[in-house]
Amino acid sequence: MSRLQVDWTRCDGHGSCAELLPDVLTIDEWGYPLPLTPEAEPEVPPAARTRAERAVRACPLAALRLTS
Amino acid sequence: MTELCLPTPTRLVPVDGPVPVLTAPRLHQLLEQSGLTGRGGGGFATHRKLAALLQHPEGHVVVVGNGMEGEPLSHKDAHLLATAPGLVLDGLAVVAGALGARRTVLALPAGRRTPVLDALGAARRAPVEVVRLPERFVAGQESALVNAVNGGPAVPGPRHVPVRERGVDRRPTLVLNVETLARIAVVVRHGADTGSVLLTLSSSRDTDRLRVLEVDRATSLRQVVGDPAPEAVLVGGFHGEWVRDLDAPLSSLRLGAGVLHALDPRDCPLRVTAGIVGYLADQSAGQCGPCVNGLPAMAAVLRGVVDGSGEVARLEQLCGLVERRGACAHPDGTARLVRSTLTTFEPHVREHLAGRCGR
Repeated sequence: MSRLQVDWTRCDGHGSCAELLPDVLTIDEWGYPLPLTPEAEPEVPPAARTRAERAVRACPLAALRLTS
Repeated sequence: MTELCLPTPTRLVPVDGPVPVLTAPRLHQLLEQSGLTGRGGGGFATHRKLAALLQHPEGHVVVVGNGMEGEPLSHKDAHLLATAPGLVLDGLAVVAGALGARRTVLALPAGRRTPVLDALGAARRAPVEVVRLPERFVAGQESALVNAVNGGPAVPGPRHVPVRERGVDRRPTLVLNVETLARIAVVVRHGADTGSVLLTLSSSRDTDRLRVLEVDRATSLRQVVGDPAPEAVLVGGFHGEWVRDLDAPLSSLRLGAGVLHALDPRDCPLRVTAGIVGYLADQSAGQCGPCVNGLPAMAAVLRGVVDGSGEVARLEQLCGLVERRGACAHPDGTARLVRSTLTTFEPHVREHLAGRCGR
């Protein structure tokens, strides 16, 4: 299954990723993406795959990656 | 290879004579047999780090010796570079030779003078480029070091681009601590490491006084720190853990880069830790949101606990928010220290929250 990876050197807490993937991510008190499950790189279920790809493209800092 | 018949030295001492020239597979085999692990803090099996670069042809990889020693309580690398620099250069020569490295770099802090090393380096055939970089806590982190060697800022790069894939000059790069390199020189000459550990000792009472010792791995903490026995020892430096059991042999501890900081019984462990966390917060590379925000918040709450007003639950929450949410292990190490402090000194924390410290 694919996993979502944040490039922390780029992430600026913009938040589009969490908006597009509310079933995978929330945001912490400072605005940074926080997986809903206790993993650093959350799994993306097949149902969320298309939205995840959209989130990767939507991030203005290009801070999101999807592993294959 | 007659060298492997000579008895293995029990300490890192300068050695005359040439260092063996080895193929990469032979070097890998010797390192695997010796069980050598990295001495820069990460403690990774050295043969595995080497294995990741074996696939590359001659003239492709870059080898970097890491002498940055960014941990303020550590001095063992500086000591080694002053007393046995030849071993470090030998280790670099062996690794660079085995991998057919295109560049061999030795990274040192800008302020450090190394006359013996400079002289030895100049006398050798295999060119080692000495690069001097500004000292910061994270400057010795692998990808930060590589960025600096590449002429950029000494801040870590993203995790998905490990330096073993793309590092100096965008080439696959192997970064090894200078003590690790010295031990590689021992292993290739003798087939085994010395069985000793190189440590830096300090006390919370006198943080400017650092003492470098080399002792056998079976030595206990008690034997190393001597009298009077401290209440606890911070093992592994600012990203380490407190240990109360002074009878533990060094071999049973996660030594990291060998920093042992003794807590003087007159000092308050929470005050000492709050000071360290404040420093660690200042030393953030400033790139990653959770670290930039979380570490200063942790320092503030910890200072609050010292004053009797901080919340332990909030401190634990902050630890959880910074762990594994950054480009490097700086936030994780800081959280490790905080968690260890809360566990090891739990009764003392309660004293503070009840308004009684007495130290």
